[in-house]
Amino acid sequence: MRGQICMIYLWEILLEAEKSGIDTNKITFVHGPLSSPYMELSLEYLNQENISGFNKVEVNTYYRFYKIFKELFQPELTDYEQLRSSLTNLILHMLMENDVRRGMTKEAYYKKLLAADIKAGCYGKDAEERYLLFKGEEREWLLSGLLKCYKSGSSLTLFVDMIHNMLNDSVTYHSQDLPDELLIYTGQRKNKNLEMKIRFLTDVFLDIRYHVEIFYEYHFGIIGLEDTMIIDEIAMY
Amino acid sequence: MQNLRSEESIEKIQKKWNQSIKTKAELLRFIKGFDLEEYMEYLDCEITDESLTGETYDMNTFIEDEIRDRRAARKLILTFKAKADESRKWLIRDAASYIVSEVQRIYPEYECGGKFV
Repeated sequence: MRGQICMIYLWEILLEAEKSGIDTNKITFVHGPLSSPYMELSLEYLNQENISGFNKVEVNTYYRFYKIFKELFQPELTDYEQLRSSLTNLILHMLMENDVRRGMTKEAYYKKLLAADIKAGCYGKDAEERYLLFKGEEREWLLSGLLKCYKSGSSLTLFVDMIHNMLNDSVTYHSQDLPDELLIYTGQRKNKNLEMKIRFLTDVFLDIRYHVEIFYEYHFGIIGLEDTMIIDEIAMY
Repeated sequence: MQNLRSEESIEKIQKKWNQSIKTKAELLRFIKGFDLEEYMEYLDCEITDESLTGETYDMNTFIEDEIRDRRAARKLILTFKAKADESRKWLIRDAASYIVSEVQRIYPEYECGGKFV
């Protein structure tokens, strides 16, 4: 969680695991007999921000789910320890997933559907491969953008927004001589991944009438702008 | 051969808001949605100013565009690759014409045509 200093609730484990690519099946939840009454998770450190390297997570099961767990961990109960601990683990996994589902918005559902269709190849095989180059947060804004596109139609503004999201040092020019020509400059070096990603964005967000030229690393010269007119660092256009 | 469209989630989402999306990917999805891939494969689209010698014919001759001047329109050429077996071969041109005519309806600003490679 960005801007948050500690993990308090159960669902934060799942969000964190998804973000760092940890398989949640590998995490075991155990009932924490000595946990803080103010936090649901009782992690090793109070201000812990990630769960990498922790396979066992202690949970204050009485924090929200007292009704479920009150009979399971009474002090005089010593029988069936294995059963009780694996049951706790199972129940907490389910509760955690329920928590996350409850927080899903309509937009998140639409985004999931869009993602599934792209992966099934409805934009073609090439687009499917290029889509997989987008990872984590990039994929989130990509799908948000796509949903926006379906809600309000494709537009140049949306395309430029998407390019800026991906390449925050980029500059997009609209040619005055040729109204259908766009020039995109980025300070990054040319590489195959980047090229493929830009191709994906132009295919998905840009009207077919536009033609795109991409300049990597070196800017083309603009008379009057000193920074772009350095000899040996000018791209030909 | 049918004119039923496939019902993917994207198709439903697109129909829900019904906005004009004139991107390459959307065009590809639109064409794929007809499920006529046993006749031909859609390869690419291209916009030109050259005069059109398409290999398809207009199926919607009765729909008249009263707003736009078709002579001034640029050409949108869809490229297909035929891949039907012997028993279906005679229908390829008609299947392509059907697709091109449907594309023409969402791209009235272009004159659409089909081409085989």
